[in-house]
Amino acid sequence: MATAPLFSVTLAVLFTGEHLTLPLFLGVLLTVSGVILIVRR
Amino acid sequence: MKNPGGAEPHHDWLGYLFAFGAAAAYGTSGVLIKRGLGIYGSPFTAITIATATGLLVLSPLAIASWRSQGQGWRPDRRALLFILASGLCAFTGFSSNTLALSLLPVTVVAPISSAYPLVTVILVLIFLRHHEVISWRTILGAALIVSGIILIALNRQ
Repeated sequence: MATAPLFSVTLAVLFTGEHLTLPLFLGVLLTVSGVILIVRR
Repeated sequence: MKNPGGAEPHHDWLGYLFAFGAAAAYGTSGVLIKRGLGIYGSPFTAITIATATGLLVLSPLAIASWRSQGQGWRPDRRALLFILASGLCAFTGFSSNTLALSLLPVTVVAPISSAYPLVTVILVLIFLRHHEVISWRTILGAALIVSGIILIALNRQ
């Protein structure tokens, strides 16, 4: 579940024409990394 | 690998497969809702249709599960209250996510709405401070989530 935004962002960029800037990409990576750190056993 | 859920360790791969399946399905649903909203417009109609679809898919499983409990079975009232509250929270989360998707791009909403473990950490800090230990890894994870959200929000301005 923690990696769900990676799927969302990839699909949004590939199929719906949304733009992904470098700061936004870094923000996504930081958020997902944080979630993985918390939920990982 | 140690499995606290009690399942056999050699079934770990199945657990990971389901977890990634959940991520793929949940990740795809946000994009589909956004596309649907682009055509249909009303987030409340989208919430109603998506929830009704979930109910329709779940109904046969729910009936089978109820029947498997045997005749005369009634759920524990206190447990039912917790499960109902959990259902309300899940519904509120889904509705808020859909409303957010009607206003912002998927690339902004998806990472922010996935930050819900942060809320759990905050609730643990408030209510279970003396019962649960917050590790450095959890604190680092929370800091990364907050930094990521700030970066995403600043990028929108």
